[in-house]
Amino acid sequence: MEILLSKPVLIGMHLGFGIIGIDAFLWLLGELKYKGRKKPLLITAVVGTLSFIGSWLVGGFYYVKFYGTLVKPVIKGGLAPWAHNIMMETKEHIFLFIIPLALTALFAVLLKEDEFESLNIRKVVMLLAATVAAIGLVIGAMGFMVSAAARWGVQ
Amino acid sequence: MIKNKQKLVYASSVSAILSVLYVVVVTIWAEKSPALKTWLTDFSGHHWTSKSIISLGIYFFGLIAFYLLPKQIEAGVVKRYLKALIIITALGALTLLAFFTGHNFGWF
Repeated sequence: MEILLSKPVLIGMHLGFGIIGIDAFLWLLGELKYKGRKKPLLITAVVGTLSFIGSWLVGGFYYVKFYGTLVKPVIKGGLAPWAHNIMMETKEHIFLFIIPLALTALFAVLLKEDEFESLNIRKVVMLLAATVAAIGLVIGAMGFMVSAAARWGVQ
Repeated sequence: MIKNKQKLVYASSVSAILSVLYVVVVTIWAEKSPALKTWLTDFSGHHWTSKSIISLGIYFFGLIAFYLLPKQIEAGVVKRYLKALIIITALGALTLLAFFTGHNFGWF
């Protein structure tokens, strides 16, 4: 349990869950485009949503428990304080958009094929899946900058 | 089982829009109002945790409320709210990025 709650493992799990979430929603995008079978559609949406929930919980725990006291002062006192002021502040808040968006995509995938077509929502649900993946990627890039600022931005 | 999946997608879209708007407004407001940030911190022990709990609360409350409301959902409405959700999410993300960039450089 001690290892599981250590900082490197928490960061690794936060990133790992995030990558699975991004991949799952990109896969969902492909399944939607090529009108895949119902089961893979549902599995990718469920896996993606659960992964983002996992990333949120683990990352949130790390952020609340360690980031503010250990990492933030290092970045703020280093060469790139903007990495916290802009990247971290934006990242931690736009992350909160993801779960409702992912759940909306998941609920859309629950619709039957004929409902999907009659509502004419295939393209917009594809765009929603792409938006979830894109937000995940942007958050990942911002997280990398924050980590890099803590690692190499020290005066 | 869920009886009306079409209405579920509609309810989820509307409540997700409200949740995104809440995050954007409360984040900017709290940066400008120390009293609000203190209240958010006192609510759960950390301002971010409070924003998380309240944003999910808004989403799930909205999801149930809009699903249970006795309202007939036209076919075009589902698509319209899904589109609105994507646009508001993009604008919300850009607004937060612009706000924190301006805040960093002391523009406001």
